[in-house]
Amino acid sequence: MKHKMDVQQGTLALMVLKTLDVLGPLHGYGIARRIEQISGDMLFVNQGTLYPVLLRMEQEGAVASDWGPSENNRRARFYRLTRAGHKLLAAEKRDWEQTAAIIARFFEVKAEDLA
Amino acid sequence: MRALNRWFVRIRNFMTRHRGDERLREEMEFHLAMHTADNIRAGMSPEEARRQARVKLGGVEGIRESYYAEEGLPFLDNLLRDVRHSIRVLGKSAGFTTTAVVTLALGIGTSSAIFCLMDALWLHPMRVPHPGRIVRIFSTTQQFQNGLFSYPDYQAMAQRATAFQGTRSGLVAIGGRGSLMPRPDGTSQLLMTDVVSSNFFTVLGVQPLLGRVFTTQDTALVRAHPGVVLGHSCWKRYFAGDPGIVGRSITLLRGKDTHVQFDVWGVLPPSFREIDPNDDRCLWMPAESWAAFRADKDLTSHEFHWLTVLGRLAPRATAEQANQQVTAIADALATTDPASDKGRSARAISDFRYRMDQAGTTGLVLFGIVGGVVLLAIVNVAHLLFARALDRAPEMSLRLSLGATRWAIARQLLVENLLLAAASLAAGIGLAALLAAVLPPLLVLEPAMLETFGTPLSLQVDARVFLFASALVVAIMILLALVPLSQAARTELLPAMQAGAATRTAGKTPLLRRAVIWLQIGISFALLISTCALVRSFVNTRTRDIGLTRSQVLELFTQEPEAPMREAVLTNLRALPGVVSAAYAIRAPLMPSESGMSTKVILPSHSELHDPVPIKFDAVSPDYLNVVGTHILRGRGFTAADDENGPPVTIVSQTMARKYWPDVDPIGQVIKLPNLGGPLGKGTNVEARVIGIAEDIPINQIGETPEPYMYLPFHLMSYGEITFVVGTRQNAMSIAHDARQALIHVNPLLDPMMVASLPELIHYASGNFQMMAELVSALGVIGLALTAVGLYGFLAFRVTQRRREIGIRMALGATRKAVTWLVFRDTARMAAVGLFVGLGLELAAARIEASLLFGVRPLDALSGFTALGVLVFAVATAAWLPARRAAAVEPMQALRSE
Repeated sequence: MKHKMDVQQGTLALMVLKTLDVLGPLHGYGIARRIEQISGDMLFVNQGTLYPVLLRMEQEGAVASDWGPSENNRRARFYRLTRAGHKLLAAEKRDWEQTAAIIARFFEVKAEDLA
Repeated sequence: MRALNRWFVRIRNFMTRHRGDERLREEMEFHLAMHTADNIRAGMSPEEARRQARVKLGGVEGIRESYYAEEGLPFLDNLLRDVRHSIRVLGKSAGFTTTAVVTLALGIGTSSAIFCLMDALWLHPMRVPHPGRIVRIFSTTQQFQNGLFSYPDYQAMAQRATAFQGTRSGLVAIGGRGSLMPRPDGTSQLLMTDVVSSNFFTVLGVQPLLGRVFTTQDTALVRAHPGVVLGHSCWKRYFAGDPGIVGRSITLLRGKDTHVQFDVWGVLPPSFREIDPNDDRCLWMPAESWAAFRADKDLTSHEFHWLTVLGRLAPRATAEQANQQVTAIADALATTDPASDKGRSARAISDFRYRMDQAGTTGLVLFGIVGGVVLLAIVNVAHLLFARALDRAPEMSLRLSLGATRWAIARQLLVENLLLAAASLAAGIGLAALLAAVLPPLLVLEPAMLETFGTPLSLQVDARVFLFASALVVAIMILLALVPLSQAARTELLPAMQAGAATRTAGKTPLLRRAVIWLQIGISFALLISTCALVRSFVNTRTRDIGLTRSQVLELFTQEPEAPMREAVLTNLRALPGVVSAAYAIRAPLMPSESGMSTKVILPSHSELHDPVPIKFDAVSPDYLNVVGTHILRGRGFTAADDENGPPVTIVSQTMARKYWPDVDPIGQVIKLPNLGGPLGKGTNVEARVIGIAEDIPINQIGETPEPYMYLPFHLMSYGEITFVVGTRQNAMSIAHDARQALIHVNPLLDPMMVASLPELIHYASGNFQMMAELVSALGVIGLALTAVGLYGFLAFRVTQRRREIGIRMALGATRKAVTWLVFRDTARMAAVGLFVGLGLELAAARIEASLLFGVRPLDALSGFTALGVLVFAVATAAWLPARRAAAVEPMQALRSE
């Protein structure tokens, strides 16, 4: 039985940003699929929760959205990264890596290192 | 920045009621369709594919909720909905809403108006920067705590005190005097003058409207060239607001005919009229100019105590430190200069404390009574809300069972109460403004002919009052919202709903509610007793024998002429039509000119008194006591024979006789007077023999504690001032013009500075009684009305609550009369407890109240029974309608409907 993680506060937004950065404009379902694929089904998330997050990011100006035709020719809302979104992603990435590096060091440390 | 942007969008969405409903629905539909298609492609059956897609998407409602929450401002949304709902609810129960709003508005309106009044009379700070740092310094003696300073004492104090800030010294001195400005027709105009130390304006921080004010640098200049600063009203009234006045000069009289020119330095702004809120001074003169102009001895005499001393506290100094310092300095002065300062000390209190002291008992009692009325209003609204909370319990349960959170219900109740608060506040402030407009004319102001230049009192409902009232009412309403809240929180859903409005007959009213009724009746009773006592005391000031006649006497205050001129004036006055008698004295009682002079006398019969005692006195012409109606109780009055040629004699007041000769006959006793400047020559002691005892008179105020007082023949005294008194058959003021001409005819300089009739002065001197009687009766009536309305509401509710019980009683054979009695008995029981509460309250307040009463004791039987009668009547009236309604209950209907 695989252990599924709940999405941590704020990380969902970062995942959305990165997904849009890599794949370009996507609709909500597409974003949800990618996140699931990349996380290797290790994340447990109601896909619906994505929409309030998208709305919030749009209000903050990190993403913009427009109606457009989908791959099966239905009307869908496409989200894309704005310039502010790119900057935000860069900043968040840096923060995240720093945090991860610090935490990693704590895990690596052994008692004799501190003697 | 991002957060800001987001708020902006949310606020815009909220304002434009923008809803992304459609968009979210479409996106989710698309999402499901895509997911289902993918699932089918992965090999699921269409139903399973659709089900899995839905599961993966999550609860649609939950998503929608959080989507909305992100989109707009849900809190405000809910609030708006609550407000709309509350308005509908309040509108539907118009009776409740009106009663609550009117009650609270009455409470707020009256208390705010009275607060404005007290503020204007006593509390208004001086209009100078940082008035809170101003302290007043008083010279104190064993008997008197608020004494004035002589100029040398002021200077000594100012040089040593360090707790004050300012150039050279932070202490300023100010003394009220009068100056005469000649008129073209040979008469003269009295201009009220404040003589001030040269640092006065700079220390207090008063900026002139025009020109400049003098400073410590100008002392030499103002000594050589006398200067004045004009008060604003004076400038408008006597100089037509001429902007070119600065730099010109005005003429004032020295003695009887020397003209002295004064340079006008500047004009003060209208905001600063005097250091006391209701005074207004015409001229402001540096002490150096005054000395050069009038009398150097004013500034050198150690005996002449005429200056009020103020200081501005240095940074970090406290009033208490200042107090210790001035006391120490004054005590040191008393030892180094015992001749003039023996027994004197000094104290400093903050100006605010001083003004609070001035408000004194009157202020305290007014405040207490207003507090009582406000409490009544609150209690009434509490009643209403209690009843309503019970009434609405089923509604609350219904809403709870439909899934409303307790917080949502609480929020709505709060909103309802705050709406009520807002409405009452608006109505209350409106009422306060109205009262503020009509109150001043009701108060007794100085008699019209007194040229004392007072500004008419004007009341303003300002921001502070508004804030105070708002804070009060909002706090109350939030507090009162807790009542239905606790009710709502406790409600057990099922029983409450099943019962509906019916079976909440719970036999006994909760103790809290009964206590509230007791308190209400108690406050009302106490208020009524006070009202009766104050009204009777006011009537007493108008009817009792106060030692002065109540018939028509005209008083004219002017400069003292030589003896032949005095007789000529009397002859002229007696010749006027309608005049029955005429006399003169230094000062007639109740004249608001001065508080009465005193002189130090030696009482040889009291060898234990080493130091001379100060006794207030008046010097009078032989007829004077007859004209003003002061009776001689024993011995004889003055006659024409008590002149320069006869032996010196004196008449003492009853209080003086009682105080100094309680066991021996005062008549024949000797009082040694120092030389009073009369014709007997300096250095001689006058030994005056007591020839009579006169009844006590009010010297300044009706109702004041009588002081020892003595009368001397006029020739023993020269003071520079005189008041002619004229007894008339018709209204005294009708001969005011002729009487004035009679004086001017003898000498234009005798043009009186003040003309007033004794009835007017008595009226004025009892002004405080009238004000209290008027205000307190108004408040008493309002309080009674509030109590009656509250009681009515309570009883009406009780009857509705007990309908079923009453129905059963009637079905079992109770007559309608018996049911009526049931209600009255219920009421009477509560009223009885309330009366005892009221009696207790009144007992507690009696000691304070006593000092405001004239000729009535607090809690006397007549006031008590009158109040009781009125209250019983009001209570019975309030109970009458509910009792009738109870009697009208149809048993079958009552039982079936429940």
